[in-house]
Amino acid sequence: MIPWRGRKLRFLIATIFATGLVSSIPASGVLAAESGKAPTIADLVSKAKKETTLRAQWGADTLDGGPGLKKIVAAMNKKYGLNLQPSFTPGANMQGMMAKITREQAAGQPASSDVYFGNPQSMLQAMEHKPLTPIDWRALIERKFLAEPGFDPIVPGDIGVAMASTLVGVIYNSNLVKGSDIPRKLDDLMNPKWKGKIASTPYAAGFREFAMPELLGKEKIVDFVKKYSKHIGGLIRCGEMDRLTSGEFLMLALACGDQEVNIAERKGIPLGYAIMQDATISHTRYGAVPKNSRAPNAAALFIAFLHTAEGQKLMWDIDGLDFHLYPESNQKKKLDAAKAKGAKVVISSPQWLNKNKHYDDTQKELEKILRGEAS
Amino acid sequence: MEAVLRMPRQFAIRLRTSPLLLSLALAPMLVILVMVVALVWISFQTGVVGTPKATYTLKNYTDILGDPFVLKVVWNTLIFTLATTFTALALGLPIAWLTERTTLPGKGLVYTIMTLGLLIPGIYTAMGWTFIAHVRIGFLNRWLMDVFALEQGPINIATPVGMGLVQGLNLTALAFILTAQMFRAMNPSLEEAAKIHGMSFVGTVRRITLPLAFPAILAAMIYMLTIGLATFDVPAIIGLGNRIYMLSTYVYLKANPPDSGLPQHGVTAALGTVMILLALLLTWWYSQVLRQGHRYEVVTGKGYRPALLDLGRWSVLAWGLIALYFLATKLIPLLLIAYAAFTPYLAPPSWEMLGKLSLAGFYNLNWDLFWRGLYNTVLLVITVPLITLLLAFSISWLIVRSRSRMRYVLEFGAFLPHALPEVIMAIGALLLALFVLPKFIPLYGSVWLIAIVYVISRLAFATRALNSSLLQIHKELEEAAYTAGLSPVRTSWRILVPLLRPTLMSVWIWSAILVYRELTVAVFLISQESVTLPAVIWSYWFSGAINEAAAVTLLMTVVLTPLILVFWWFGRRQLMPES
Repeated sequence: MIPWRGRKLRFLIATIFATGLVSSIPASGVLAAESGKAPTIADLVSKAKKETTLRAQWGADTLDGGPGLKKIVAAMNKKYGLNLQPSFTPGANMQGMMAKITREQAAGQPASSDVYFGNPQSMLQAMEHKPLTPIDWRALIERKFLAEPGFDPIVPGDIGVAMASTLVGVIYNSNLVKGSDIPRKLDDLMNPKWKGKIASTPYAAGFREFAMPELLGKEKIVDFVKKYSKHIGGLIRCGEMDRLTSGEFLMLALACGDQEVNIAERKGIPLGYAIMQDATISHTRYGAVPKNSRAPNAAALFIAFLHTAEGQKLMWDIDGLDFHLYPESNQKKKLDAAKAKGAKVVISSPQWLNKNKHYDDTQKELEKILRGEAS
Repeated sequence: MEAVLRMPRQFAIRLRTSPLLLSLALAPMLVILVMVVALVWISFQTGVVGTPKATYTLKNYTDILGDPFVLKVVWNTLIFTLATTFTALALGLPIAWLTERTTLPGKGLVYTIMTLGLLIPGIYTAMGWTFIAHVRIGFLNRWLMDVFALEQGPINIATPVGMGLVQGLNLTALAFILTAQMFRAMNPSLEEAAKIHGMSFVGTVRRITLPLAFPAILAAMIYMLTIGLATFDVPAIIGLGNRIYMLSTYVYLKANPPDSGLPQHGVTAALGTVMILLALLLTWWYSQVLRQGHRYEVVTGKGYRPALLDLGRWSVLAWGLIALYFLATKLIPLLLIAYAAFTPYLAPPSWEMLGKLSLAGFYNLNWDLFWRGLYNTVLLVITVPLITLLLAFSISWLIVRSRSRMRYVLEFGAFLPHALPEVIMAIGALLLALFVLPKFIPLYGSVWLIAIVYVISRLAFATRALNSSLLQIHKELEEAAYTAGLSPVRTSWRILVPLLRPTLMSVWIWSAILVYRELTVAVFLISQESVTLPAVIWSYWFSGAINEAAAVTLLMTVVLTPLILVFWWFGRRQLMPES
């Protein structure tokens, strides 16, 4: 017989292990369509009632970070009669978070973020590594998308759905860059007066798409970025607007989109935005549910909610983003205006990136050049 | 290595009846061993590491050793580490000398300032110095540009030397602590003899003081080189955005790619293995210096009285140096962080911006995240020192009291964490939790994973402090307790713990402070559930939300500093009767 003290110790150890194991088991699988049927909003609401917390991890500026998540979840709770608690932790950029979720899935761990918010590049990564849950998004989302030739908002394999778009260009400190100094073309960025004073991104945002044959082509962009890498002062992430307002850098070129400037204009923050005459891209933002999400139903509901008119308005209010495939969209107006000016515009999507077999290699080459690892 | 006391046979036999102590002593050794083995194992893998799909290869090593960019990173790290060590010693050594060997007034205040220096997290100084001396936004640069009509700021901290300067300011307090004791114990008879023979002050310092102090200075230098090699916070805050990479930040980027790549765990582990070898080499050198220290023994028995140099009016200059240090590392960074926390968006200080200061940043803060960070930080501050003490006591007791050869293994194992850079321990723990342990112990994403690494990384310091104190307690007291029928555990609790209380308190307080300010391990192991306050600051900073980072830094300072100061005050009270 085990002595009482020993039994207590064993019970304690067993309890600790059991608690740890239970808390670490992801609730995935609940979302998967039962009997082959696609889940409906009612299904998700019913199952999401058992998921008490919606954990989210992405850049602190994305969807306005913690305060933004709180507002969205509060609106969701009200609309669907839920009592979900939001839990936000600032995380890596979209590709970085995709890498983290993929790593966690490979290791059989729960995802750091129950819901994933990404870009075409990260969705392309997801198409390769398959860490996201396939969901019949077209059936789940209650509104109809406007038609956009050559662009499908659903990621192949139903692993994600587009929910916002934003135009790629240059963001600048409007107190320090004014009038004719505002760049209109890529070559304007090479003005010697900007040497060491402008920043780019470590993931070659914009340039990686500009290098595609439909836009400016690889040869021209690689050549430009080689010179540009020696011209810039550093690398910052899209969203690091404090580093522009502080004057640490005068411009971010190319930025991921214009959403920060949309917000800055309302708050009187000195940021301006310019689209390059050479070309522009409409960057798409995607929502998805990791296979190892601990709240997959709440996550899917979160994405579906952001597609409602109420969700789109909320997203515009908190993050300056909405989806150009909805008629009331502010981004649609901007995109239409850019097209009307005759700019070469491409809607970026993982399908479009995947068309170019050398896209991945080109991006890696551009990233290496920008980091200073290759000349 | 401490001498080992001999014990009577019947006493030694009792050791074998204390498996609890032995288990406690061996547990951390096992964790260290598994961590290092996992790191080395994964360093030879590519593909999906830690799984049967992995391919075994030397490619990770050939890749890093043949990559000119890695060589550049190593070169940057070398310059940064040397600049760090030089700056820390250039400031810490004179302040230690002034405090211990001169009539400088207000020595208690100097000790308080320097202790605060250890308390303040490195991330705080790094953020503050970005606002002070960044080539474009640093107010010092802007002032110099205005005064001398320069086109560009003359000071650039976004270089390996600049970052070394900032990290050196961070480590000045440590350099002070490491060398003050040596100056206190130094016999001044040789200096007095030199004075009688007409040697000048500078000549005496050059030919007598510095050679006598050399082993302690060299030991402090090697200790700081080891720290500099793996420092993360300053290179991350200042260097990453400016494309200046050190080994620690390079490892971080390989584990958390900012671009389109997947984490390169094999390469990370290979870099970690190389860093362990470098750190082991430095640690071996450190131990050699300490062993040869007896050749420079300078305390000569009971008649020893350290003579103090009368500073006279030079005290003003001495205090000027200390005040400058305080301003540069504490006050000005704090003021600039406070300014950033209250601004609606980050912009250089101006009358216009001062008019826009408000509490909006705090109102919009993610308070749920802050409370989670605070909860985890407080949890770690309470538990890590206690567990560290429990394990360190078990190890030290066995090392000092046991006759078994096993004690040498324990002593080596307890010292090993000193040679393992925290960044490498964090990577080892991450890989272990992700790929080796998940089926047995679900530690990934848990605050206990961070706690384990913290405990192990503080074990070397705690064990060495306890070894020295245990050697001073004669075994007769324990033998008397055994004769009276007390078990080894009760003997430890009733006899040794009360006698060791000053050392235990001191180790507890310093471990708590180090846990409070620690960033490197937390950054690598951060998750929704295990986020700590320094990691919250880092997350905000790294996401570009500098105002929020500043607000949390200010709150962290306000909320936790009184707590730590109470610990510190209590510890000093405990130490006073014995000191």
